Formats: sequence, structure tokens, C-alpha cells
Amino acid sequence: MSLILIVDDEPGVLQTFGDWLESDGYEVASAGSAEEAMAWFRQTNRIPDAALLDIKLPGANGFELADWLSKDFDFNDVIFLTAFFWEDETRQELVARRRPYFEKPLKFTREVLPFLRRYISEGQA
Amino acid sequence: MNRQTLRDGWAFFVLVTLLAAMVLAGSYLWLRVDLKNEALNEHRRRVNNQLNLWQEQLYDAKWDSVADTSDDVKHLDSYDESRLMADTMTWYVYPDGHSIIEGAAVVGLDGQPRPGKQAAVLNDAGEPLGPADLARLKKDKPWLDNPWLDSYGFVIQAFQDDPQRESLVSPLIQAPGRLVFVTAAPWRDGEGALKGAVVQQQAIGQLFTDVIKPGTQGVSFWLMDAKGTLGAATDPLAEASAKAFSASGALPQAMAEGLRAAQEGKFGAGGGLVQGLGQGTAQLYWRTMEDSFIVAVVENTAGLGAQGQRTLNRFGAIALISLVLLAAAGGAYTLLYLRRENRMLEKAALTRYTGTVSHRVRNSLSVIRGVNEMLQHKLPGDQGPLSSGLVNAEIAIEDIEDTVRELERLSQGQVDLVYDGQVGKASMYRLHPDKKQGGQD
Repeated sequence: MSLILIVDDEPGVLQTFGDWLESDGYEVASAGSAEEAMAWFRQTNRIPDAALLDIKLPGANGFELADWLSKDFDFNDVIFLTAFFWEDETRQELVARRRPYFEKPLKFTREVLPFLRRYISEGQA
Repeated sequence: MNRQTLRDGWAFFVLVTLLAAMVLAGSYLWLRVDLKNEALNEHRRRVNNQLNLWQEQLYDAKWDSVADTSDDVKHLDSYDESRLMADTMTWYVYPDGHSIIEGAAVVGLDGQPRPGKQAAVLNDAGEPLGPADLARLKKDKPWLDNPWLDSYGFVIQAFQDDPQRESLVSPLIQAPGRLVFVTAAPWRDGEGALKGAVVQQQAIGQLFTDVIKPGTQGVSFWLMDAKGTLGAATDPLAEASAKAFSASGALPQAMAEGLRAAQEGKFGAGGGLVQGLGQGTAQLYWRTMEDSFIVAVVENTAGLGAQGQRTLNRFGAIALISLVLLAAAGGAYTLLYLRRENRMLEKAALTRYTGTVSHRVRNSLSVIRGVNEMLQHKLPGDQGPLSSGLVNAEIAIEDIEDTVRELERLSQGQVDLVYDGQVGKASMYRLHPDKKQGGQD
């Protein structure tokens, strides 16, 4: 069973997203902040098949978390979530990182789930 | 409005106004010195030029008279004495009998004018004045037909004392109703023995009125002889100055300088000094005519540079008006700036708030859509109204999503909001199409 980590500071989003992924057959781990996610990586010693990272987080943001994961765990399968795509800085950073991203509100059945299935089955993009 | 912004705005205004005031004040002070000095220097140049002119006129008056008396001496033995004196006088009189020279005469060793003496009672043609002219002139000069001093012994005495002496200019002498001075040339025989002298007598008051006075408009002028007798003073300040000059002992020194200058072929000496008078501190400028007379102009130092001061006052008024206008313009600009700053602050706050709203709504929509999609996905078969209700909910979510995007584009300044009074679908406002610069639809 594929493992997906979701990092978002909105409990509602974490819950809904988690429900969707679990119903689609994934094992789900969740964290409310970048620091919590780092702790999860260290404590469980597991590497997820993909990590969905919200960009605006309390403390370190999603971009910084992606950098830490890459540096400390050589983990690069991150997919960004954002409610701030309209902001120039956020949009430019997303484009520069050349990583997949989804704009909130998420369209689960039409966009997110089909993409994840393809992403994981193809052995990461 | 932000209190700090308000304070900064007005502080900047006050600073700029103060700087402008300092520049204007500095210019004013600089011009004050410059203009006053310039006006003062210009004034001094004019006074000095005028004094030089008066000095030369006195010199000419003396030497014309001396030259004529010397010339008369040469012709005494070959011409009729009275005719000679009359001919000489015609050079000095005007057609109406007006004359600076009161009379010309040959003086005997007894000091008395000889019968050939000629008073200024003829016209420039040498003809005797008519009774009307004579009566008119005698109104002001009752001595006209008898101007002679009691004795000219001092003339004879001077030429006897100095056998080499070729001319004489007397000091001022009090005659009835006026001060006069006498120029004379010695009349000697072939052996050099003194036989008498040819004299011309001039009224200093008349000389002043005819020659000097026209140039004294607006200045305080005085004239004095070498003995300190005041010949003319235009006003109380001039009179006080002359007396102070004489009393200070400066007169003999000035005359000594005048004598030295004359020996060097100059008209006389010149100088200036500051006097403390009852009327205040005064600046005195003086010139001697050789060592015979001294003329001077005196003025209160408070009045010096008055023209420059007037110009300065005008500049000060203009500077003050400019400063007031500048301050008014600065004040108006500051008010506008602060109002604009206030609007910008409001806009910035609105932008931040819109971003926060957008973030919250997008997250909430994620949850609602997730639930909605879950219900649709899990609903077995056709559930009729529930199924269509879930579709409508999805449409509503997309509508909210579009509204959020509009807010985001507005907050980014990508579009303007235009009120068009439309009462329609969702809003009475619409986005101004001309400002669309991309963004997301």
C-alpha cells in the first residue's frame, strides 16, 4: 500500500484529504506544520511515496520543508498545495521549482486523485 | 490615518519650510551687507566726485581773479585806471548786473581804493546799470554801489612783508551784511618798490549761491577759510560739523596738507573723518582749495546706504511673501500627500485582508468540495434530487471560487472595480476590462 504524507495547517483540509486518499486505497500520514513533518520523518524512519505540502504553514513554509526533506532525507517527491497562487512570489517560486502543484480549493475527483494514481504508478515523476 | 505617517508628513513639511526660510534669510543677510556696501561705495564715489568739482571751481575762481588782477597791473601805466577796472568787471557781470565780483580797484599804499575803483553797477557791455536794475539789485545787496571795506591795508601790508609775493587771497572778512574775500596782485615800480595793489572783492555767499549750491541738493555742505571762519553751511548738521572740525584742531592740519598739495601743483588736499556730533555719528569728507578754503560734505552714518537698505527691504518683503507662498504650497502638498498616503495605507490593508480572506475561503472550499465530491462519488445509482443538489452545490462552490479570484486580482491591482449601477446577477460592480492584465479566470 502506497504511503502519502499530507502537511497542512487546516485540520478540515487534512481530514477531508485524508478521507479521500484512504478511500482511494492509500495509507495516509498527516502533519500540521513543517516541524511536525520533520519529526514524523525522523521518528518513523519511513519514506512516503509522495508528500503533499501546503505552502503557507505556521513556522517554516512548504518550500523550506521541501528543501529540508531533500537535504536531510534525500526525499524529493513533493507536491505543493496552495491558496496563494495569485501571489506573484508564490507563483514564481512554484514555477521555478518545477514540481507539481494544486491550487486550492482542490478538485479531488477531477484532478488530484487521477494525478496521484498516475504519479505513484509511474514510480514518481 | 497612521499617527506616525501624519507626524512624518508634517515634520517633512516643517523641515523643508525651515530650510527654505534659512536659504532666504541667508540671502537676505548676505545682500544686506553687499547692497549696503555697494550703495555706500557708490554714494562715496559721488560725494568725492562732487567735492573734486567744487575744489576745482574754487581754484578756478581764485586763479581767474588773480590772473585778472595781475594783468591789470601790467596795464595800469598805459590805460585809464577807471576804464581798466570797468573793462575787467565786464568779464564778471551778467547783462542784468548780477556778479560774483563785488568790485575791482587799485589800492594805494594808504590802504584806500583809488578813485578809479569800479563796483558791480554796470552790465556786461560796460554800461552803467539803469535805475530799475540798480534798485532791484540793491534790495538784496544794499552795499552794491559801495562795497568797499574800510581799509585794504592788510593787502598792502602782505605785499610789503613779502616783496616776492605775486598774489594774495585773503581770508573771509566780515563786511556789512556778508562775508567777503579779496584777491590781489602787487603793483610795483621798475625797482620793485610797492606802489599799491590791484584788488578784486568777492562775496563768498554769492560765490556759494552761484557756483556751489546747485550741487548741494540733498547733502549737508560747509565752506570755511583757513582761519576757521565759516563761509557757508547748508543746514544745522553742516554747521555743527564745521564748528566741530574747527574746534578739533584739524583745520590747520588740513590747510598744511593743502599747501603741500598746492606746491605739488594740485588743487589742494582731501580727506575724511568720522565726527561725533549732537545729531549722532557723522561721516565727513573734505577738500581744501590750496591752503585758502576748505569745503566739506557731512552726513549721518545712519542715512548711509539708504538706497541699498530700501532695495534690501523690498527684497525682504518679496522673500517673506515667497516663503509664505512656499509654505502654503508645501502645506497643501503635504495635505494631499497625507490623504494619498492614507488611501495607499487603506489599500495596502485591504490587500492584506483580501489575501487572508482568500486563504481562508479557499481552504474552506477545499473541505466543502471534498465532502461534496465524496458524497457524489459514494452515492449509489441515481438518487434524484440529492444528486442534482450536490451538482448545484458544486456550481455554487465554483461561483464562490470565481468571486475569490476576482478579489485576488483586485488586491493585486490587476483590475479596477467600476460601479455601473447594474442590478443583476451578482453585483452592482464590474471589473474594468481595460485593466485586465492576465491573472487567472
